[in-house]
Amino acid sequence: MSTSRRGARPLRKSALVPQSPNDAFRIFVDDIAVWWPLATHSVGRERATSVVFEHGIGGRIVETHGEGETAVWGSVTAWEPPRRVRFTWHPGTPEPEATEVEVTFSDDGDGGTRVELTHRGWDNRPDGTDARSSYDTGWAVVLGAYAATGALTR
Amino acid sequence: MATYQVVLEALAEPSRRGLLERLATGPASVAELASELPISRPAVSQHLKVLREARLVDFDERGTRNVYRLDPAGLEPLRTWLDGFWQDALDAFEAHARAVSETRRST
Repeated sequence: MSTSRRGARPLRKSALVPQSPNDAFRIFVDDIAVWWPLATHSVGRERATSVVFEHGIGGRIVETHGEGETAVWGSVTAWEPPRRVRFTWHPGTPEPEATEVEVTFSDDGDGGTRVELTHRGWDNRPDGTDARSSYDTGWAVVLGAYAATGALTR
Repeated sequence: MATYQVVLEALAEPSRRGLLERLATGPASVAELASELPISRPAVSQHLKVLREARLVDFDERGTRNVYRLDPAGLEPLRTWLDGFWQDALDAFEAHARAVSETRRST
């Protein structure tokens, strides 16, 4: 059903930075508390104080806000520095309907790095089972979109 | 055009998610939804109204009754919002990486 899939196509964004892929990857992950727009892009909004991107598969992306409360945004499912990192995305909501974000770092041929971010999984339930009917009617897309925006918009 | 807040508010209420979940299995009338779910008929009508305003459901007239079905067109505002979200995040990353590079060059 083509109309039900319109909202489901992967979302892609890119950036160009002057560093090597090695440094760009390190800055993306280790400086996230510095560059991420926490005041607007977080569960705690203006109460958010920090965010940590833990290394390796299973590592979590965790926001701290208020009096030491935390909110997990997702966890790492692929860890291939300096080329690629992939993580689940369910900021401030339970994990079951998580979507997926992948970030790749490639040499731009001019000493810098092209960073490409893909947010997908709107059309895809991770459990696979029983997803067929909901996939056809668009319900998985609804759940995916809800999980993708999560509590970041409240 | 529904805004993403309207869509999110529609999705935030558990009974409305229950209605969407039921409609994902196939179209149904208000009476059918009320008999299948633990929600009164007036409440079903009220929730469907909210879901219609968010463009998450639509209905077809079949004789004297309206048969409701999913209408995923309501997801476009969420997608537009998410597009802006990642654009802002990557712009911030790019600005920081460039600033780090400048600092290193000047020292």
